Amino acid sequence: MKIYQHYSLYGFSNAYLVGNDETKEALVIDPAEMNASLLGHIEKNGYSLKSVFVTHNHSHHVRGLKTLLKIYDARVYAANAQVAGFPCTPLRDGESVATCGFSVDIYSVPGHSPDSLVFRIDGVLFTGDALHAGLIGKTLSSYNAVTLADRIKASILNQPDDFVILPGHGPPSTVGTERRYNVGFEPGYAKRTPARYDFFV
Amino acid sequence: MHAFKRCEEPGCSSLCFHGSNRCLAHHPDPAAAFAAVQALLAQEQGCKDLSAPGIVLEGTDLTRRKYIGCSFIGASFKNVLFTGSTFLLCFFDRARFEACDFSGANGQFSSFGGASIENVSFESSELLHCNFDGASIRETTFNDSNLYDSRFIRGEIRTCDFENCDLKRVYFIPAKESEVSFKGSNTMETIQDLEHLYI
Repeated sequence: MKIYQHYSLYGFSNAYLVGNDETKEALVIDPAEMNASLLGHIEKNGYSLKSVFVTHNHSHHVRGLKTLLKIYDARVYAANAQVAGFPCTPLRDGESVATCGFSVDIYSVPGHSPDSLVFRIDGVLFTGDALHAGLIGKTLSSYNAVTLADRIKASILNQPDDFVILPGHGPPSTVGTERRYNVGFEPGYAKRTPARYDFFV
Repeated sequence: MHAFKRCEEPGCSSLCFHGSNRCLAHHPDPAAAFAAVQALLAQEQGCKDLSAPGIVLEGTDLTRRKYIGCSFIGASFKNVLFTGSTFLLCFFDRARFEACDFSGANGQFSSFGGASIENVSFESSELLHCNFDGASIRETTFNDSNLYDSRFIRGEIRTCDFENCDLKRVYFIPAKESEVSFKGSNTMETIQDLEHLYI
């Protein structure tokens, strides 16, 4: 599995290209932006782009979808049946999708948004905005913050310590590091954080 | 990306060591495995996708090497020179660094979560999108470095210098902090409390 992280200045978010050098197929997770750099990585490696996985339908994670689908005939997977005007294959918690020679496991982790999903390929978790290094995703209410923290504990933090976390924003981490140091799991965290979205500071 | 194969020793859930079906602790010939990985690390061009959890290196010169997608989780480095080296998508979580030199390094999108870092120089480095959450950092300098979008959350930082650094979008919320100098750095652009999260 070859992973290329692409940093998008639109929303300061991470997009990921996951390639399989045996099948020469690839998938993209959260196409925040489609530009020459990401395109170059797909073409340079000779990948056939088969799938796009969307962790949640916020513009700074899906803005590149329109351009990407003009170039490649890829199937889009998300929690909803439609993202940014494009039809998607809806995903449900607990299901697995076989694509590009990988098995992609789906975890529903609502809280930051109702449609938030986490994808696992082998030992790599693509957590979108549900879980970041040291923090959990922002929520619109303290109830959602508690729901999100509980859901992460139940479905993400029960994975092995050395599993890698690749979030929608910021640096990578591991399950072990998040279990020990993430402030989102501290008692009273939900009450201390302002309940609002604030994407561009 | 490094493999996530588990040690085949019954009851062991550790990651396999490079080139083996077992972890370092259950390897039939740990000395040979260790030497093979050391040779790979010392290759002039560096290496990719290496799984070397728990490796112990002392007094090794790894200057100007390039490492991509490697796992050094729980490793130990003492007097190791990483001067001018490149790290992309590498994992040093819970590793120990003592008297190491990363000056002039290019470390991007890598994790040092929960690491113990003592008497280490990261001077004049590019440490973009790096995770130092939970790390215990002592007697260490980051002077003249670019730390854009890196994180220092719930760690301990003592007697460290972050002078003339680019700290834009750096999360600096350590659990304990003492004798830390930020002279000449743009601390106004850091995020130092949970009121100003942008995610």
